[in-house]
Formats: sequence, structure tokens, C-alpha cells
Amino acid sequence: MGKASKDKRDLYYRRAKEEGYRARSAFKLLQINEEFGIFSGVKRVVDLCAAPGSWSQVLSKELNKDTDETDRAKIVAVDLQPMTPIDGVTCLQADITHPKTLLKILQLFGGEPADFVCSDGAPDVTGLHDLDEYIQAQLVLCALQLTTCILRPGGTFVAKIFRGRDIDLLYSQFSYLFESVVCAKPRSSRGTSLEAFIVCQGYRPRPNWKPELDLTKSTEEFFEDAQIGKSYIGNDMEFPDAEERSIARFVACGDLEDGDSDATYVLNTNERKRNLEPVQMPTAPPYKKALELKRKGEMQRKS
Amino acid sequence: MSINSCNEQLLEEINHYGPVTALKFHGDHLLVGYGPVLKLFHTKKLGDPPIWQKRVFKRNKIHSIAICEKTNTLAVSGGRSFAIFPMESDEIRERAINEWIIAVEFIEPGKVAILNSHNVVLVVDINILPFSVAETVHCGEKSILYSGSITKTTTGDVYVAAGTVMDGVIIWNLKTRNIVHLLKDHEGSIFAVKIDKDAQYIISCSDDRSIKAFTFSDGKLLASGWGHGSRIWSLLFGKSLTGNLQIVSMGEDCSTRIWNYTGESTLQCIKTFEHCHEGKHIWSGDSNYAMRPRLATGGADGKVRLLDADEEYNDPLIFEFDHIERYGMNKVEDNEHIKSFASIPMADETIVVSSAGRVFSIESSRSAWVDLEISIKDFVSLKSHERQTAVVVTKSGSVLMINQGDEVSTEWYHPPPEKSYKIINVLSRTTEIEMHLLLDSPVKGSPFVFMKLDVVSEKPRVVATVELPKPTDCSFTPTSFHFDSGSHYLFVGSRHANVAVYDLSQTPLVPPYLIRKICPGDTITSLSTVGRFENGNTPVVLLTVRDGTYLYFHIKCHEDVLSHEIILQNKFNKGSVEGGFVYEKSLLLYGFRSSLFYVWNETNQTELLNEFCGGARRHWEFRHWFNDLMGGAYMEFRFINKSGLVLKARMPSFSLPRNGLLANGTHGREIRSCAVSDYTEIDGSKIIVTASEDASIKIGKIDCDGQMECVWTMNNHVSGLQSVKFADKDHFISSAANEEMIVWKLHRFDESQFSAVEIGRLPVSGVNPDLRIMDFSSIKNDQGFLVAAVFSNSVVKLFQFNTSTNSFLTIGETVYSQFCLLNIEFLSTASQTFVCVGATDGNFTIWDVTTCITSDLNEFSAPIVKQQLHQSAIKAFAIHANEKTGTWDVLTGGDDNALTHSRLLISSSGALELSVISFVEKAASATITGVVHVGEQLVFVTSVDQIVRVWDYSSDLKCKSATYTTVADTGCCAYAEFEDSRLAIAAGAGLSFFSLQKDSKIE
Repeated sequence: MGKASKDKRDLYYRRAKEEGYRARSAFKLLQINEEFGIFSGVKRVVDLCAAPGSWSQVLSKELNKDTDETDRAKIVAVDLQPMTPIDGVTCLQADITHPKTLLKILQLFGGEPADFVCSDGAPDVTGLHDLDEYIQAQLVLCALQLTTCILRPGGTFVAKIFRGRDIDLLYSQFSYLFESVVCAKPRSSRGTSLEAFIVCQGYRPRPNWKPELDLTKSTEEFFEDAQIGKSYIGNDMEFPDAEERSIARFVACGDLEDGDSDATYVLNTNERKRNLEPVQMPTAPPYKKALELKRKGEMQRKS
Repeated sequence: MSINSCNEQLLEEINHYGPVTALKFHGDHLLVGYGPVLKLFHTKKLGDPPIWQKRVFKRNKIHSIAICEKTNTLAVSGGRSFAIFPMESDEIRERAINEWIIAVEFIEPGKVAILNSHNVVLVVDINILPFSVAETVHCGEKSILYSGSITKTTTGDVYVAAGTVMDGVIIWNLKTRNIVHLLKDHEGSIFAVKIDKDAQYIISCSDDRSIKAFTFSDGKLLASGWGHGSRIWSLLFGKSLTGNLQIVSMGEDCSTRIWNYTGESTLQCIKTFEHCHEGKHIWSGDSNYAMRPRLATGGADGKVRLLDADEEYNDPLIFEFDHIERYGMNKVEDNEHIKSFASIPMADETIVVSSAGRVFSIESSRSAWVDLEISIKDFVSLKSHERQTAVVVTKSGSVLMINQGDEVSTEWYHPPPEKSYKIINVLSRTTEIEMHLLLDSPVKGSPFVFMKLDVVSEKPRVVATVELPKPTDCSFTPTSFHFDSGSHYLFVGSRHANVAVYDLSQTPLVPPYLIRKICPGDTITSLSTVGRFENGNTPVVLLTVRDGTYLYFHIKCHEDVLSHEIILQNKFNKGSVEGGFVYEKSLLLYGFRSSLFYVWNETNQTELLNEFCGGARRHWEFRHWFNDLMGGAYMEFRFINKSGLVLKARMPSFSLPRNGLLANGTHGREIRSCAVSDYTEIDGSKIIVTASEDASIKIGKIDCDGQMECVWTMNNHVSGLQSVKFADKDHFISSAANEEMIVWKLHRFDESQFSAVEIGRLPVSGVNPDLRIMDFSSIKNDQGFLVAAVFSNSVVKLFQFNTSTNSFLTIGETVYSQFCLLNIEFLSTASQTFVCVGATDGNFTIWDVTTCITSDLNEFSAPIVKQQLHQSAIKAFAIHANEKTGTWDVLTGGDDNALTHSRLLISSSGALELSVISFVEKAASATITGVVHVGEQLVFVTSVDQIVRVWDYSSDLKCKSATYTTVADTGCCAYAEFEDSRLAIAAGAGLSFFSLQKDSKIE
């Protein structure tokens, strides 16, 4: 979210800066909570793919609103990227598919299960829509893997999804594991974006299924015995004719008065002048050297 | 019956333009993965339709193709799907595995290996049906992969090269399952990795934007190459002249680069094809070094291109003046050098004038110099004709004609002595049989001298000289000219974009018609005739300006008074434009971009060639000529640099304008809006306009079979497009971010040609144009068009666009709320005009704007209807008047997946009332993005779940047919009605045409 990006005109971008959130996505979680009341009674929460940390900021602030020091909620934020510390949040730089990560979180929770697991993670998109949507679905399933190992029955799971061609497969699979599965679109999430959030409440562990993280298993293999309506292809490799699909109920969330992320607002001159440096500077990308060479003019053609 | 698939036969996808995700050469044929469809093209028959096309998958896009040459069997994969079938078979059975497939390869005739995204290989036995997994193999490292390949080496070993998301490259042996190498030299995800057949090298690329080459035997990093401006998606092994390692790379920046390993730690980029495709991303590529043209690329723009990657074309011919000594000649001055040159390409000769005034001819292919033993005094200019003639013009206006026939002959032409010209500049033009010269002298009051030379007779001769009075009231330095023999108009272009038009049919000659500052920019670099207006002799003239503007205009003559009309104006922004011409329906532009000379096909939006020349040169020559006997079109580029005269010859193995374009496409970015004209052109086609995220608008034609031909790509907008719609037969309107709204006029000429020009633009309202104009609607009236537009700041505005002044006048305005407004349509009765608006809050709102139109009142009255039809944004709606009942049907589609049918009627009290008739909550599994009326109580609906549906709203909403579309990010739709067919169009990341079948066909 650079200074010159189109987010500048955005109401939520400015509000995030003003309220000290690391990203505008903080409001997405706040608005989901407004609609579903998912924070109520939450004492142990895991924030997956948490960097830069705006959801953890929201959790730390909201879960500890009316509590004293001794009764604070335990929040664990997990990401492969390093994160700037957040008050009241334990940051783990770890792989969410690794069994050790699960152990570490359980340790931090004193062996107790989580009440709430969330993930706002998204991959770097390539532009190849089928691949990007597949990878996003894989990321959601990775988060779900860990969730099934740590969430208490009746607990809540929220994750970012892309509403693309196979999202109905995911809705169907989630409905085996939760009492209620809803597609939530917060008003702070742009209407032009395929982004939405799957809000799953009332975790129902699958009977006779013991989820166990195993690095040698793919997400498909992990859920194979869970019987969640995934179509598994057998040795004959026959293409599944009709896969189980369903459409989750759609709920727009956030107060209409909160503002519209698609609208252009008139800013007064004071607001225009105020310097809005991004709170979190972008991390070093893998193509740093390529950028340096370009700056030095060493990528120009010479013959 | 599912909402994702029903009565698919009523909605048949008949054509698609979209990302090309897989390519594979098969001899002189090319297999192309176009979404779920596999097509076979003949690489020597450019422009031909594919030999065959087969739908291999129901939903998945083809990402990988393998061929078993022995058995002529194909293995195709994409997503979780794969299919294995004999090349000629039409019975294709889609099969699948549980994970995403990274690569597929034949490892022996009866066995296919499939690499999945968890670094596991499934070996499939295809000898006996049904197929079965013979073996599931992994190397112990189940990393998640982004890329990978399977290689069977010449010694029979099979290696897997796995490109992981986080752990670099893993090379393992399929048989032993041993990891051979773990290569950690890259940063970021690996996007491509390959091993050559001889197992000598490993090549890879990653998110760090570098290409790396490793020795296969020890996994040692040999060299890295940097050059791509963004991500690299594909790598191929090339074939260098030296036999050393050569790599071909292509990616997001739409360039294809060839790299040589020379023993250094840096790979040498020896050739860059820039702008191979439009927009972003070359998704696929393949090579075939057994025959030309060597390389094929497939882009997100749906185009397939063949590139000639032969190194020999890179080597320039350099003619140094010192070479004369080899032919027994000596310099007559110490620093004698090449002063000027002109080529006679069809005679393979170049004429050179030295700084000492000597004239030489060089036979290009042998570099043989001949002194023509002529001494030129007061040299001004040397020009030539492609066939056999060169001319030298001197200060006095004398012309030396050099004829390169069987023997070289020369002859002087001298103007009458009393003329005493003081020529300082000469421009030349050639036609097939003539050479035209325009001589300019700086003397005040002196005329231009226009000369016509016959160059096809035995000896060239001056057939006419005409003195042209210069425009008197401005300084006029000619920079280009063109004589149109059909109309006898002579066009002279100058600096400051002025044009003088002479009517040479008039005697005595009258002063020219002067067009001052015909367009922005400075030097007019070329003028040529590109077509004719039907109703007479008048030419359509192409004019190019160095800063990139180009236009078409024509001259109107009314009672001997000339005037002009611009019928096309656009700007090229990838370099300076030194000239342009039209060949076989393509507009070609050429000029300089940084240190390169380029030739660009503006019609196809691809670059034909670029040559390194160190930047714009003072003395250069670009020639193109057509020789049917020699098989097509030729181009040559020459320039003088410090070492001498450099010749970059091109003998393209394909005819010039298609220059390797095997399949045509569309925008290289998402299409945000599209519209088809109601009017059917004389040739039976219809004009289609598509507007893309990349700020470009394409105007083309579609026929009743859904075949599309893009003609113009307009760059007038500078920000992402929101909406485009036709206003009438001759006009369309487009809107975009940055508060842009443009009215366009279409012009038709030469029976089936057309062009478009911006005629009006909405002035920006504030200091900062940060508003998006989301949508608009128009009604034709006496003065032009009534236009209503909705803005991202919740404002609705009403304008009168006047087609005689081409200006907008605001006649009404209101603010809805704080919500972004998304769409608007007019609705009129005999006495009233309404606007209907959809917003992000899910409300459908109607205002009566009659008083704004009929009186001076500017403010809208309160809305007469405001009803929440959706939970969140109304993404699209269609209104259709029901003439029988005098009501209107309103179909709205929402971000909430719902589709609503409402009815608008005028109640007995005269008020407009909206009532919901039918509502389907789960009408799609994701956002509905487009709704268009397609006939008797039917709407065509698009949504981002990639299912297109036809809904019947004659009673309760009923999904009549539904089928999958490979167009991802499906964003908009349109409808086209032809005499015998009806087409529905869905657009997004690509464009698909669906034939709407009448119900009766299945009943």
C-alpha cells in the first residue's frame, strides 16, 4: 500500500492510518464482527498469515476491551514473514502446515483449544486466474487443516476467499465442518475485488476423524478421511462428473453509515496536505537485485 | 438440473479469444491451448483457420502439452485434468488426479508421467483401458511447486525438475527417487525450470527476475542473466551458432529474450523481441530448431506469434569507406567518408556519395565498391527508387539520374538556367512506377519544385516539373509530402503540424489550402493514401507526426472551396514515429525508441522488429517493398554510424504484416465493458467496441459466427475504462476513471473500412480529476445526445451533448448519498424522461428529469422510486419495455449473487411504481456482473463464477440454460442480433461468443 497508490482516495485507507492500523483490512474484520459477533467470549485466538498484523491489532484491541490484566485473551499471530511486535500478541514466524507450529500454539494456549481461528492470507497473484484461485483455495485449506487440529467444537473460523469459479466447492466442503457457513462481504472490501470472507461458525468435528498435521501429506490427502464431500479420484483416474457444490448465503456486513470503499470522497485541504506515510514499509522483495540493476542502467540493451 | 449446467445446447460457445496457456510444436504444426480447447495450426499457413480444434476439458484450461512422436499420441493437462489420445481422435476422455498438475510427459510409449503440485509423480499406464496409476513416486521432499518439468534424456534417464514456492529447485531421478541436486541460488518462487535432453544443463528462473544456468553433472551455477522488467514465466533451450548453451525466456513484460552462455558469469542477451504481445504476460512458448520459424509465443492477449530467432539476422552488414582500397581505389581527401547513401534494394545496390563529391555504387551482397566516376559539386541530396534508380540533386536544382539496369548509366537533368534555384532540401517519394521529388529553397518568394520521374522506362526521365507557390502567411518548412495521383492532390506536411494541399488539376495553379496545426505535435513525418471515400475520388490520407500522433483525414471540395475532416486520430506512445503505411489491412508505424529502431503493427498491436542502432540517427533509411515473385514483403534498415554504413537486412520468412501472427486476439488485460452496434454493416458484420482496464479501447468487427477482427486500439483515455456504449449508428461513448468521458464518431469508407475519432470530451469538474465516471446512458435528440452519467462520488449528472459544437452542457445534477453509483439507464415515455440508477448500497433509484430537460431548472427533484433490491451493490441491470402491457421489466444482478425481476408501471395516478415480481437469492455462486436483454423475456447473465446463464422472466425467474465459460474475471456482457443468428458475448480476461439457440431446436 504505497503512498501513491489508488488507496489514497479511499476512506478506509485514511481511517486505518488515523487509527494506527497497519492496513485497511482491519476494518474488514471489525465489520465481520459487527455482523456476526464472532469476538464474543473469545479467549484464545490464532491469526494465520497475519503479516503485517492489522487483524492481530484488531483482536488485541477488541478482545481486551473490558477485561483486566489477568484475564486477557491469548492471541497468537503466525506468518512466514517477520512481523513488528504488537502489544498483547505473540508473533510466531512459522509455517502453518508444520506440526511444530501447532505444538507451539497449543503450548502458548496451555494445551487448551482455540475459540477462533482467522486468516487474511493471500498469495502473490500471477494473473492466471485459475491458478491464483486454486492457490488461494489451497491456502484456505491449509488454514483449515490447522483449524481442525486446534479449534474447539462450536468455535469460529474466518478466512479470506476469492469468489471465483470453484468457490462453491469450498462452500460445500466447509458446510460439513461447521453449523453455519456464510460468504461475508464487508463494506470496507472493494466491490471491484473478488475478495470476500468465509465465516464459519459452530465447528463440528467430523465423527471418527482424527486430524493430524503431517508434512508429507497434501491438503487433499489430509482431508481424505474427513468425508467432507470432496471428490477423490481413484486409481482409474475417471473425471468426477458432478462434484458437490453449494452456494453459501451471502451477507453484506458493516454499517451503511461506515462508508463505501468504492466511493470517492471529497477531502478538505487539511486532509490533503497531511502526510500519510504507510505505517508498514514494504518488505524486501525477491527481485530487489533486479531493481538495483535497473536503477544503475545495467538492464539496458547495448547491442 | 444444476444452476451451473443445464440445457447447454441452447448456449453454445462458438468462439473464444483469451489467454494462450500452452504451446507445442509438432513438425511444421503448432498445438495451441486456448482455454479448454486444443487447436492445431499450420505454421506455414498464417492467416488460415486452425486445421482442427477439440474441446479436451470441460472447465480447466490447458497448461501443458506433450507428444509421443512414435505413436502420434497427445498428453494434455491443466488444473487437475488430463487427457491422453491419438492426435487424430475426436473421442477425448477427460481424466483427473487429486492435485494440480504441473507437467505431463511421455516417458516411454505406453507410459505417461504426471508431476503434481506436491512434487509427486504419477506414472500412468496407457496401454490398457481403463488407464491406471502404475506407480506413485516421490523423492521425499513434498514441497509445494509453482513450476516443473519432466525430462527423458537421450540416455534414457528420467529426471524431474521441480520449481518450488519456497525451497528453490529440486532435481530428482524418477527411477531411483534420489535427489540429484537442491539448487538454492534463486530468491523467491521458481517460475520455470528445465533440463536439456543431453542432461548437460539445468536452466531456471524465479521471482528474483533472473535466469540461471547450472551444470547438470555437479549442480554448479554457471551464469545468471538479468533483463526482464517483471516476472519470467517460461524458459526454453535455444540453439546457438557456436553450439554453446542458449536460453530463450519470456514473461510478464511481453518480451522474448535470447541469451547466450559465453563462459562468463553473466548470460549475454543477444536478442530481445519487445512487445511480442499486448498488455501483460506471455504465458506460453515453445521452440523448434529443426525448421523455421523456431519460436512460438502465446499471450494473455490470445495471440499466437511465431518469431524468427535465427542469429544470422542479427549480424549487420557494415560498409566502411576504407573498403574502397580493396577495390583498387584511393581516398582523394584524408578524411573522405560516406556523406550520403540511398539504396536500390531490388537491384541489391547502394549508391554512396562521399564527402569529396564522388559517387560509388556498392553491391550489397558482395560488398563490392565501384566508382561511378562522377564528381558532384554543390551536393544537396541523394534519393532512390527501390527498383533501379537513384538521383542526386544539386543546389541549382540539377538532377543526376543513375540507372542500375544491366549496366550503370547516368544522365543529368538541368532546370532552365533562368530559374537559378538555391535548393537546400529535397524530399522524395516513390510509387511503383514513379519517383516524386519536392525541392525546397529558402529564398523568400521562391516556390517548391515538384518533379515527377518515370523510372520504369529504359532510362529514367523527368516527366513533369511544377512550381508550387508556398503558403505565404506562415513559415513552412516541408518535412514530408505525398502526391495522390487519383485526385491530383499534392499534400505537403511541415513542422508545427501544418499541411498545405495543392490541387494540381487546376490550371493555373491556385495557392494551397492550408491546414494550420492539424493536430498536436510538431514534425509531420509521413503522408500517404490509405483508402478512398466512396462518394468520389477523394483520398483518405494517413498523416504521422514524430511525437506519436497519427490521423486519417480527407479533403472535401464544395464549390471549389476545400476543407478537411479528420476521421481518425490516435496516439502511439511506444516511441517516435518517423513514418507509417498500410499494407494488407494493417497499419504499420516505424521510428525510434531509446537506442532502437522499431517497426510496429498498430492494427495487431505487436512489434514486428527492432534493431539496435544507438538511437535516432541523423542519416538513416528504412525501406519496405513488396515482391510477389520473391514471396512477399521485405524491409531493410540502414544507418550511418562512426564505423560506416550499417545495413540491417530483414528477409522475413513470413509475409510482412502478419509477420508471424498465427492467431489473433484481443486486449492483454481484463475487458471491463463491451458493446455491439445495432447497425449491420454492408459486409454483414457489426462494429464491436471493447474497453479494458489498461485504458485502451478496441474497435473491431464481428460476424455472425463470432469471428472478431480488431481494427483500432485507441489510447485517448489515460485511466481504466468503466463503460462503453453505442449512442447511434455513428457514435459511441466511453467513460473511465480520472473523470473521463469521450464521445466518438465512426466513419466508414472504402465499403468495408472504418475509423473512429474523438469528437467531444467532458471537461473535468474539479481541480483534481479523481472521480470515476462509472456508467452513462444516452438518448438521441435534435441537438445531439442527452447524456446521463453516474460518478464514484454519488453524483448523477445530466448533459446535453451538442453534435455541431461537440460540447457538453450540464443541464441537471443531484447527489444520491455517499455511495458509489454503478450504473444508469434512461427510460422515456411520450411526455416524461426518467433516469434509473443502481448503487453499491443495493438500492435502485429513479428520478424524473423531465423538468431539467425542458426548463432551466438544474437541480433534480426528489427521487420517485428508491428501493433496496439487493443486499450490496447492484452490479448490473437491464430495462426492457413491454409494449403489450405498457410496463417495463427491470432485471437486476447483485454482488449478493441474487437476480431480481421487478416491474415498473405508471399507476392510475400517473406515478411510477416499482414492484418486485421474482427474486432468486442464489442465482450464481459469486457476484453477478452483467445482465443483457436477449429477446422475448430472456436475459443473458454473467457472473464471476464463470457460468453464463439465460434466465426466462416471463413468469417466475427460471434458469433456462447455463454453461461454463473459460473467460475468468467475467465482467460484462453484450448482445448482437444478426439476420440468422443471435450472439451473447461474455468478456473479462478474454472474450467469448455464445450462439443463442431457439428453444424449438431441442423440443
